[in-house]
Amino acid sequence: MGISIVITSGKGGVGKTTTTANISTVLASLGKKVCMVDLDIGLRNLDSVLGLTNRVVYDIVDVAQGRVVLSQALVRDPKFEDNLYLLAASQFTDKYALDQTSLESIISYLKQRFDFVMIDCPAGIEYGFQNAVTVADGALVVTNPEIASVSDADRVVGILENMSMPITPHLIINRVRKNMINNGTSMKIDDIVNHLGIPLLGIVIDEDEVIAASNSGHMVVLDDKSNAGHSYRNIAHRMLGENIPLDILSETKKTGFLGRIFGRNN
Amino acid sequence: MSDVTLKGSKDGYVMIISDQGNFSNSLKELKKLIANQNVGSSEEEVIQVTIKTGNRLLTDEQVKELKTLFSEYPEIEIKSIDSEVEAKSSIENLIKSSQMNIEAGIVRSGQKLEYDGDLLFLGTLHEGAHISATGSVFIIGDVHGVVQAGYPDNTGVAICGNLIGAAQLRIADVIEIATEDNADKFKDNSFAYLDDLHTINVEDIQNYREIIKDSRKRTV
Repeated sequence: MGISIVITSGKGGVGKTTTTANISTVLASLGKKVCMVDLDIGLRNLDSVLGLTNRVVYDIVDVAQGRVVLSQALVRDPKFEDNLYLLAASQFTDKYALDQTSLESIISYLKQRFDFVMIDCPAGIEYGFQNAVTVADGALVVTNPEIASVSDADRVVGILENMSMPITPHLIINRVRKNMINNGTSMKIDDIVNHLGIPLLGIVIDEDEVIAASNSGHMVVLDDKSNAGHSYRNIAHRMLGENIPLDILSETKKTGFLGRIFGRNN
Repeated sequence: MSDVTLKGSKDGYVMIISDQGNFSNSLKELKKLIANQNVGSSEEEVIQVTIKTGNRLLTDEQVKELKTLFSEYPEIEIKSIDSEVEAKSSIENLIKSSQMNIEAGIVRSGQKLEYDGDLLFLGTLHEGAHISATGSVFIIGDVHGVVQAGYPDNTGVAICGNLIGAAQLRIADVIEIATEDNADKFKDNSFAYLDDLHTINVEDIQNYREIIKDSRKRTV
């Protein structure tokens, strides 16, 4: 029996979808069975980030409304043998097309078949969000080191705590700017963690490669040289219970000339 | 003159129910007529009868009555019920399904356009968008989304023209997904159709006439 984890943030544009795609990819490459579920009905893009758009034939609303069975709607990512699947959101209906009961049965079926059911939550805290968080066993709250994002994350953490999930929500701080940390103009990681009061699972550096990879339908975690990719890999390992020290400096390490020649072993 | 006439033709027996008479009276006459024919159980073969209703279109109810009447005579079977006239609504559908639609705008992600008949697509189909026609689709514009022809089950149609960049081609119930492996199949000046294995095949547009003729033969 697997677990379902919702990736949420409150605010839009902080990197929920990228985070979902990258962490799921790492978990799958580590041999876990992973199914990603896109619940951003009407504004789906997990499929494009993964480069799977072409393969989507049926979506979660088709399953919920009984037009197809669940296994017909699962899109397999051919890059990861039999480990990584996507259940796409519907692009042609609105969010009310998916009701709580059918979503619950879909997720509970997926949990029997997969180790991890990673749920990409829509932005906001309305219907779609409510649906997504009620079917999750745990949550990853994604935030950026900026005041608007942290304050929305705070609101979300409050809602999540009231729901008493089996697994406590964990925090991922995304889009951390190296230069701003170095010259002290960014919000401090410690301050954010203290403010939100939930365990920190990892921080991810803001990097051009992340966007470049998404645009080409590849995952930045498959790029050995990327700092962000490294951070996502660490996050996935921590999710599997490995004790990887959370060293902000190493995640934000600048690689010198020699480092680039001899490869990066961080 | 009686309301019901029985005729033999080279295609078998024809029963003509006059469109002038009262229908329930005609049914009674029909019953008498069948009884008079003395069709016995000695006949091995079931007799096929075409029923012609002239300038009268039978309602579903009347067709049912007619069928119930015939169910009493297992040795006679209705081959078809033909009328000289057609309901306006079915004519409208017929016209719709044979018309050529022209779409020239941008179809954006999340939009789904459906057409009765053929579609001439001059616009741009964005990723995540969907165009669907009951007939063939002819693409002169750019497509990056899902293009569907022959919805839901018309196999004798094609998707023609510029197939470059389409995410999926769908014909009737068959779906072809564009992947790295088959990307070179999705060319300009080509057309996609259902071959005799019921899979989507792409050919050069020059061969359209011949191949579609074959494919329609299979359908009929």
